[in-house]
Amino acid sequence: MSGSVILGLPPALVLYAAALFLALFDRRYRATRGWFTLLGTALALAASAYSLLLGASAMEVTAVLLAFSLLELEGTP
Amino acid sequence: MNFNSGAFLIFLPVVVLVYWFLPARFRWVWLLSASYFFYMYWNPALVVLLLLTTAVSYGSALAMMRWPRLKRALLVLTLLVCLGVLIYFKYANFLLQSVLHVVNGAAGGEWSFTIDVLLPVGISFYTFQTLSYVIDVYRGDFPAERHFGYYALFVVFFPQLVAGPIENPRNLLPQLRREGRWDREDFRAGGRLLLCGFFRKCVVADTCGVFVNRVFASPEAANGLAILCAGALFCLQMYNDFAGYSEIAAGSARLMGIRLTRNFDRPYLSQSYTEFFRRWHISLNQWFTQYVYIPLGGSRKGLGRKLLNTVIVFSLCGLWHGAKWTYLLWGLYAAFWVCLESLLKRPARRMAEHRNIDLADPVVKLVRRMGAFAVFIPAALLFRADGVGQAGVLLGRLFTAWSFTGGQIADCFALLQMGGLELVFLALCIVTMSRLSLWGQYDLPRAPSPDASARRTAAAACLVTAVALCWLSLLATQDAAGFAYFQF
Repeated sequence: MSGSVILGLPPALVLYAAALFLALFDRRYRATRGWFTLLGTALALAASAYSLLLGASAMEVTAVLLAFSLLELEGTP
Repeated sequence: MNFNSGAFLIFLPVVVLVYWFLPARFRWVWLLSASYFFYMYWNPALVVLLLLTTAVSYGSALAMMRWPRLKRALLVLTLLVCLGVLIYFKYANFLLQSVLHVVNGAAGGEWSFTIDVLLPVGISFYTFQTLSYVIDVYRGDFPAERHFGYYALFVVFFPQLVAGPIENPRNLLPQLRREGRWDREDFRAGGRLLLCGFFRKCVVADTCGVFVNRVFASPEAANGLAILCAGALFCLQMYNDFAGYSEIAAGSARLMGIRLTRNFDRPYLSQSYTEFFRRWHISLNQWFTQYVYIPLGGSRKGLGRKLLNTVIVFSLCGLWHGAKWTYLLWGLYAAFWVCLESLLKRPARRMAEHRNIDLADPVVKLVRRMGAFAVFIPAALLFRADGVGQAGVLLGRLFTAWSFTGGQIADCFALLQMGGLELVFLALCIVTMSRLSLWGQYDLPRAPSPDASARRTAAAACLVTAVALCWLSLLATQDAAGFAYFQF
């Protein structure tokens, strides 16, 4: 996507990818009673703060957070 | 104070905290004081009208119980006072300008005169709420409340004071009298509703509003596609603005163990205009049904009378929103479609049976929903337009300013200032909104496992951050708007 700041920040991408991995791992194996999910969320929020500090727009960061929240809401009541 | 203001974010926790620390018998005093403070935050002087409406309706209801033979006269007196105040503050200038316009046109003059009057916040809502109480007492459906404090709290209860839902006394008064105990599930439900409400308002409604305003700022420059997009976005904006307010109101009340009436039920899933008004602003539509449509005869006096009653009710409903001709036109547009659906309902059913069309089929439902939404768009343009002139330009260009070329799409997105990121953002908002409709249920089953609980917490954390980001961002660009229904 043109003009995306997050796509040009490797540390943010790494943090988001780690958050996604932890969330998917917890969904698949359910071995940590949700702790990996919460850790992943913390990483996603940290990545968001980092991205904002380095010039990402609120809309871009919000879009990523919405995608994460949809992932967590999927399959839960 | 607005719900999406910093002041409210301090006000609500303080009110809730003190509420639960107080002995049960004093809680109504605290809530009543907090509610008056909430209202007077806008303009202290306007509380006089609120007190007048409260006192007249309270006294009238008690007098009806004391002197039943005077019930009708007391009801008429209450209607004159309460509706008189509403009509003066809301419609006096509108009526005056309309008369002057006709006189100037006929006599060739240029007279002008305006009454310097400030529209009290929430007057339409609290007037209708007090009238529903008085009419219910008159009919014998509800006993008059003797305790002035509880009654005053029923009128001024801050979560629903300025933009509804319009509460029935049968639902709210008993809850205000009850000495409830703190319940963790109420707190969770309240928090969930607040989150959903703020998401709808700060993330969805205010963002859609930014795009809508760009088209309405220069309608002559907008092509048909841009106006269509603006209409659709305004439908989203108005729904999320109002439903967001209702959920914040419900969440605030639920934190104190009080359940407000549900005001929206996924209206854009409607398959007809008639169904839409059973799902949209439910409390207002029920009010008009119980206190205007049914007393006029409803559908009991033949088809012609039913259609006439429908036109009257929707015209009044349109004007209830404000003193503008476009609101009246909006009401008449709605009446037209509701009457048409009423006339075509049976022939359409027979045709569907004859052609073996299953109305419960998902594809048929989808087509009907899309058709209904297409009908909502001109109504949305009427509702949003500054006046009849602008509405005419927008509706005219909606149906004529089409070229069906790639350039039209490019011009549309250039006017909206919408690129790939904005489109993705809106798509995510719509999907999240539909997903959150479950969270906006007033009761949700507890998470079945620690994993599910963690995922709900994770989703909530992301959404709270998203809401805060959008709110701060829009504040910084001064695009954060107050709640639209505060103006009614």
